[in-house]
Amino acid sequence: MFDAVWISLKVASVSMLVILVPGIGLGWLLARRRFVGQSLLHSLLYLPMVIPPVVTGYLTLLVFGKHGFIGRLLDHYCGISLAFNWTGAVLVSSIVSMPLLVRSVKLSMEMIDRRFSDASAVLGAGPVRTFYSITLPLAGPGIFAGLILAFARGLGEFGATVIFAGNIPGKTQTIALAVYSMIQTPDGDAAAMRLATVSIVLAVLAVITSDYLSRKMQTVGVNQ
Amino acid sequence: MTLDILLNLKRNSFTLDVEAQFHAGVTALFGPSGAGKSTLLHCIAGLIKPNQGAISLNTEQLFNSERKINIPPYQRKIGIVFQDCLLFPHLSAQGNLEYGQTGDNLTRRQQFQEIVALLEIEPLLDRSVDCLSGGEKKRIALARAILGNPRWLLLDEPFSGLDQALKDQIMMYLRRLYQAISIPMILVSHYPDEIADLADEVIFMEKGHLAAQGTLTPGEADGSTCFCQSENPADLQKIKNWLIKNHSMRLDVYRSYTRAI
Repeated sequence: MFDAVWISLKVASVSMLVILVPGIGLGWLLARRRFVGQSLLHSLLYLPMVIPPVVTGYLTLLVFGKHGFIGRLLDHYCGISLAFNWTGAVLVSSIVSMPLLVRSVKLSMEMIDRRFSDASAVLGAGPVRTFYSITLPLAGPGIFAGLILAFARGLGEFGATVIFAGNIPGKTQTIALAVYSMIQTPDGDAAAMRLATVSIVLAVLAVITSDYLSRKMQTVGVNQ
Repeated sequence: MTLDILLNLKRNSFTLDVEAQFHAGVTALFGPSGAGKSTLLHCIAGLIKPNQGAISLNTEQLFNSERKINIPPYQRKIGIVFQDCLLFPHLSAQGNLEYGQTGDNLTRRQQFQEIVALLEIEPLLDRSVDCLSGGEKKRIALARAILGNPRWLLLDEPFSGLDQALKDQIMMYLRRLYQAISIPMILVSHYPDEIADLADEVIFMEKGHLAAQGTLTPGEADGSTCFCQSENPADLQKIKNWLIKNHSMRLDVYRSYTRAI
């Protein structure tokens, strides 16, 4: 049971770190820039949110699996095998939770008055300093809210993980997979209930924190 | 010190077409809403790129469409006090003031203390910008712009949203600031009392064009009257007509303001 909780927390936390920089970058790009193919990028990014997770897992296996286009290269040149490994669980968790972060970053950046960037520029700050000193701190609560939602999504991930990383106890078996296994076995109900409770507590804590940060973001927006 | 402008900007149905020369001192830019006053300031600061033309400060080209020069706003060293201040909400008043400061620590500290004393904002430094009143925000925005060491300061309706008492107070601080550091300014204003009180030159804008230009000289010692001069009598008439038409409640005052020599 503890293995499953530990693996879940590890996978969700690492995937949160993995998506942090690209998630903020993509959210900023969608909120602040206009470019050719923007709608396509927007749709592709949100795809994992709307297609069945099992399909996401299957597609990930096709690309990152041992015989997949990228998976083969990783295996051949770096000796890295993602499929049926906890790192594979991180990969699928990142793919399914990324849209939540991008969406939250995009919304929070759209709420910031763009003229703050103008005010920063006329005070001598270039685009990079403006991003770090103005845009990022003002979007901070939105970014944190998105990260926590992504973390919660990672904790609850099942379909894509079972296809790509498998259900290997002590290696890739997360809380969701362990609960599934337990309810398949006789007398596993009590253990499944305990894990389900842990899962619910973690998810509720994450949603409450995310909600609090979203409200804080709205207050900043109103004050602006 | 001169700021030369020749620019053309087309935005949907609006066209800004201006040729003007600003001199050191305070130039008031006035005219009806939608005349393009704020847009002109944004073009000078580099926040809006004109379609065509040139903007130069002394001999330095800030923008030249033919030579494809467009110095970004963060390199122009032209400060703006925005109409709604645009103080950064996540920084304290002091954080806002220090944001645009450059140079070594000693110079920065000295300059900071000088401006803080001049505008009497010491008690506001630790406050969050959300806890500042309208007048206090204007003073912080003014100080922030000055501490960025601009070569020219643009003031976009700095007295809007203030009652008469606060307006008088900010005008006093602005005068004090100008006397202390003599930075050239362009002041966008709708109100003749502000213009007469602060400006050396006036430029009247209408429908995206420069419609009239004149210089102001104080009349009475108490500042209640000032005279507007122009090489072109038609310019004087335009300025006077607009002031009377739009501010008829203060007709007497404006008559004295716009009396030609």
